[in-house]
Amino acid sequence: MKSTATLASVLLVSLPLLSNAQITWVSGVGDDANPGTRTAPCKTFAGAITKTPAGGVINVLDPGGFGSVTVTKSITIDGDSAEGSILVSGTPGLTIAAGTTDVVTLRNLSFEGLGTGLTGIHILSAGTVHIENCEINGFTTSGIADGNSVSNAALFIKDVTIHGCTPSGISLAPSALGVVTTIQNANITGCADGIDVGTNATAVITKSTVSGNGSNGIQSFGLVELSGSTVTGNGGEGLKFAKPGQILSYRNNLVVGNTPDGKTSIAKPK
Amino acid sequence: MRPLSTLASVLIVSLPLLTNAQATRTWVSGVGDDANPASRTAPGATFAGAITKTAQGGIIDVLDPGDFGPVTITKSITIDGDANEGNIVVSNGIAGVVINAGTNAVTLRNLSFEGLGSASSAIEILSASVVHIENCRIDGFLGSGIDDSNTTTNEQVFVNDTTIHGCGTNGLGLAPASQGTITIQNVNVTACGDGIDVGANTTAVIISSTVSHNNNVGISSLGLVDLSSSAVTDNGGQGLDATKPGKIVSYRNNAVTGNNPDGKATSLGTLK
Repeated sequence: MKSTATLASVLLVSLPLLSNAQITWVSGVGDDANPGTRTAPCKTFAGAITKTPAGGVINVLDPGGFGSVTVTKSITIDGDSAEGSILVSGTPGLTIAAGTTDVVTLRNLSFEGLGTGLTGIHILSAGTVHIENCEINGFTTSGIADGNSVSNAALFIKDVTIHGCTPSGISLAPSALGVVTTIQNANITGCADGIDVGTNATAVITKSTVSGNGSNGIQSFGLVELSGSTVTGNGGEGLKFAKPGQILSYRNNLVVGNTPDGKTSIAKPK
Repeated sequence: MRPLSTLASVLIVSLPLLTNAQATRTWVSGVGDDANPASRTAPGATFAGAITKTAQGGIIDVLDPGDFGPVTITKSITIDGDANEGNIVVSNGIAGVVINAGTNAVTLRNLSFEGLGSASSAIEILSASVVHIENCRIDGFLGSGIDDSNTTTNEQVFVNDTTIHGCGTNGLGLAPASQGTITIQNVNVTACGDGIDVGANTTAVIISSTVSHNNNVGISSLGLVDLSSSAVTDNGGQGLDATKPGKIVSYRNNAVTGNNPDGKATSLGTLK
């Protein structure tokens, strides 16, 4: 008897916590009262995130608008093939205030600010942030604003399209030192400045296009490494930097039609 | 008694006009109905139906696969086919999307245009300040894939990740009435009459694009073309054809071969 009871209690303790799934779901016809499972999805990212443990994934089951959300832990939010949407007016799209070693991944998401939204994606703190295959349109305190307070944090921006944001498409102004942003295949148009890189910031920009912005294309008070990119048709300087800022070019960028084009320091490709 | 009826009349007056409300985001579905409000749970059937229910600056999203028909756009809007790549199938001299939006901005994304060999043009830009055409497919129009005759000064047009096949006049006909700048990136133009025709007053920046196997000229320019990292190959007529005062500036990184003849750039630029 006793050994059976012990065995039973051991089994009970070792059962997985099925209600606290690693992966949760949202649906355009979901309900935040649901547990956020594949068959009983939530309706908003904010609703689903409370049901997703740190390190988990919120998936989008079908098309819909899933609302703004504040992220305070490691998480992946993936719009999947439905490209989940966040549409806001007068507020931020998504805010990241996570821990110093937390990893936040935002993928396949569409952010619309209607010309009144604050920041599309606002980073206050996180160890690592990935922004992949996202669209950001119509925000008034930048499309992506990085004010990360975590030293040596990393931000990766890949396959992102940003239109019509002021003051910048991407504003890199971390308060901490050693934050490196790697931007690959970004397309930034119709903003005031395309990319603003602040004093503490380092940005490696490859295969990206910064065109048709009303003011400067790329403005650097920090360090910019620029390769294989296009900076054209901006209403201000194409490439603007002022000491101690730098823009190092790998001599393979198309910079034309700006007012004026500006110039760079030359780096040596390897 | 009296105060109640007064209250009632105040309430009636203050009720929102629910039938005329416009949403910032509307939806269309392959099994939708234009009698619906075009909401997520009661989607419309066509872009033309949904646009009347979409607020200025809003978005029309595609819920599931379908053919959402031609549409004329007269305000700021985004039409996004999302993952389903909404179709616009037209024929018999009709255009796919006509943009006559004054000084507004229009974004067309993830759409597939089919002209069945008899439609006029896929996208006609009559007026707009800013047009984004992203991740679209255009096939089989008698006129142009993209026909830009914009009357709005200083237009900015961005064409990205778009494939244009089999358009009789040209893949892109860029002839705004006054100054315009068109940025073309990762665009593939094949089997059209001309590939890309650039008019006077027009600046076209063409990057990482392919203009190949068109029947006549690859790229013609009466304006200014900046050409970088692109391929202009195997066109039936001249590859690069600039007519003074038009120019084609090459950044020395383009493959121009197999044309009839290849032609050459007006001048060479230098990458920075």
